[in-house]
Amino acid sequence: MNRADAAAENDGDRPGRKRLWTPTSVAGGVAVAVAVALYSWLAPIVSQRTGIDLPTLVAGDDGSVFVGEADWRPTDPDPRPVDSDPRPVDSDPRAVESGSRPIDSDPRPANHDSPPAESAVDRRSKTVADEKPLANKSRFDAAKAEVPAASRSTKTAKPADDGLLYGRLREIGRDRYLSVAGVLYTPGSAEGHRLKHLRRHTADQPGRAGKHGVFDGEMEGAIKTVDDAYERAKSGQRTTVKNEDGRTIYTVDMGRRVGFVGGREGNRRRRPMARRVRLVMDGNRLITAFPL
Amino acid sequence: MNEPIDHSTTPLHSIGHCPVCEAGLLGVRLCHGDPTGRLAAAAGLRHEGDTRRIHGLVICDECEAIWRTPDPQTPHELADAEHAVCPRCQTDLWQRSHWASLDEVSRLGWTESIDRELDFDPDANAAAENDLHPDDAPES
Repeated sequence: MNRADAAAENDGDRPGRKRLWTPTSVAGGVAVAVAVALYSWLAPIVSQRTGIDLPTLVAGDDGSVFVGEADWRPTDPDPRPVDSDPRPVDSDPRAVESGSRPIDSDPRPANHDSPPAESAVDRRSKTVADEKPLANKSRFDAAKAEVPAASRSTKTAKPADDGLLYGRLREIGRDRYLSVAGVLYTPGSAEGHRLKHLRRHTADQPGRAGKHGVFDGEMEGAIKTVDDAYERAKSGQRTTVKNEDGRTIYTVDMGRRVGFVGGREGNRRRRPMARRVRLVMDGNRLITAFPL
Repeated sequence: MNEPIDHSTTPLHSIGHCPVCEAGLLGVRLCHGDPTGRLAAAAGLRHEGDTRRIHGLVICDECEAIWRTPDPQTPHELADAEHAVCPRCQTDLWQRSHWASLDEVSRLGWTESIDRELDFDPDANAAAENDLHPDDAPES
């Protein structure tokens, strides 16, 4: 059976009639082929110039052509989820989520005689370079290019949890991180960054005189507890407040264990449980936080 | 998992506990001064004396309240949260200063002010680094 016969057999509307290749159908086919070719040629150029992700045409095994997924790679060098809305720091942070990488993952002790520590971007680049290839390659390149966060695209955002430092911190600028509850972590302190200072309170220092509060749950736990404490403090829930020249010192009763009291005194008392958190804030900037 | 403890961020010698945050140690810190002497002059701090030389500060290691003398009864100052400078010489507070050793405390003439009970004990910290954190201990 030839092709025309088969087509005729399947033509239920016109039983008994043979299907013919008419000039009109041939011209239509050619027009479609030309359109497909033109689209395939122009789509990447348009995508590159406009940043619009046009769907790609994918050839099937049987010679058919269908619309595939948009190919973002040529158009966006940074697939990290970054909110393009450069809203103020004091705005509601619950509505925004973004990607970031740890800036304090380097456990080396600080040394005042050593050259200045490498920037967060450098460290981020190293960290990202160790990750999986392909998509993260773009992240590596983007980190080196130091593309301003506000100018990055949101169209390739990944799931929210994937992009938040310690699951709660969104990078809103170079070395600046805003937590879900609105606590801002910036450069500062003897450690060089407030996150590094907070890290001090994720491990005991038995050699330190007096008390040294230690959060449960390492950095993730500390940041979550600080967020919880800040929300309680803002709502005045079981909180005492002391204002000191622009700094606000909150002591928040968390009503549950949040860590333990270490240091020399804490160890003498066999590391008693801590249920309170002291937050020292400069506006919404964290200066220090520790369990009591 | 335990991480190395950063000894350089804990005061070696302290004069007491912080009356501001009621938790930090008032550590003696040695500021290297501004070799040019220009920063203090530009800030109009001519009364600070020779800010080109090293000088001492007392700083709370938690809330960063600063005293220019080893007397916490005197008024304290608070450095900028992000761009802290020495209140005397105006140099970068954290880059141009360090927690003073006993010899340096002596050179400042502040030996009588420190409380040796509050001295940092690096041996105790080193021992702790080899122990498990309570949260890391295997469940029995």
